[in-house]
Amino acid sequence: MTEAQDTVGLPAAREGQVDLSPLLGTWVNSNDATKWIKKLILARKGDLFTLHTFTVEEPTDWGEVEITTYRDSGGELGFHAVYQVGSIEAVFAANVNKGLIVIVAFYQFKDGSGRPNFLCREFYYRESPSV
Amino acid sequence: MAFAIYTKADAWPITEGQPDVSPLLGHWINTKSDTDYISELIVSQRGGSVVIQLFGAGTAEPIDWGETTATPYVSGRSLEAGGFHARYDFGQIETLIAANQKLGILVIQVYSSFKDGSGRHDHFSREFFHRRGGSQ
Repeated sequence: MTEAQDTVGLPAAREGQVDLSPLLGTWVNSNDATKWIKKLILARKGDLFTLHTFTVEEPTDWGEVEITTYRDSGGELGFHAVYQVGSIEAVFAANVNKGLIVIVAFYQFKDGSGRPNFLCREFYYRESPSV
Repeated sequence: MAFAIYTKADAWPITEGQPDVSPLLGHWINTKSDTDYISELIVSQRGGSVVIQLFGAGTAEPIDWGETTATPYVSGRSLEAGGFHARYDFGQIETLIAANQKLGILVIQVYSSFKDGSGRHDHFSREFFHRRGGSQ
């Protein structure tokens, strides 16, 4: 049974939210040299969809946040999420394209270091249990 | 000796050394598990050549297309291979493969032409592949 099928019997998604069930599971960055998000887990908690993010550098576990879900005119799914981790504020904008999740991540550094705002766009594939 | 130049890139100075094809090598799996086109491929280096083996999506099992030699291309001014092209000629169907890699994803465009008089329309696809089991 897939994780998406595990949602059978759960309450309907919150009003206005798009059902992200087909995307539930673990997704891995295709770029093994990434300096940012290396893995993410999409899950459903009651009528909410959540994102759990794991990054390369400390703190590597960014924890779980509620996400807002979308569907585009072609029927593809997407979501956005906001994280506040230490001095980093991050906004993730994600869309699905042919089985890949594409995430554009916008980072702001509020530590007084003067680091400029930064964005990166990377690709995530579904972790396969068979490989 | 003067060389032909049809783009500014053609005029870049010659870089010594062989292209690094390692970003292309591996066993690649289509990110779209229900694809109607290519389900997976293996890219390997044999001697000085790049060899690919494609598997088409079949109703039961993937269809092994066998091996063919691919031509790698560098991207930009570096020696890193950015992609390759290859050709399969099955007689009744001819297929051109054009691939590029970016951030661990292989993007493959497939152009298939029918030469069997069946009236089928030639078709095109563009799909994404990740390395089996992650990085090399």
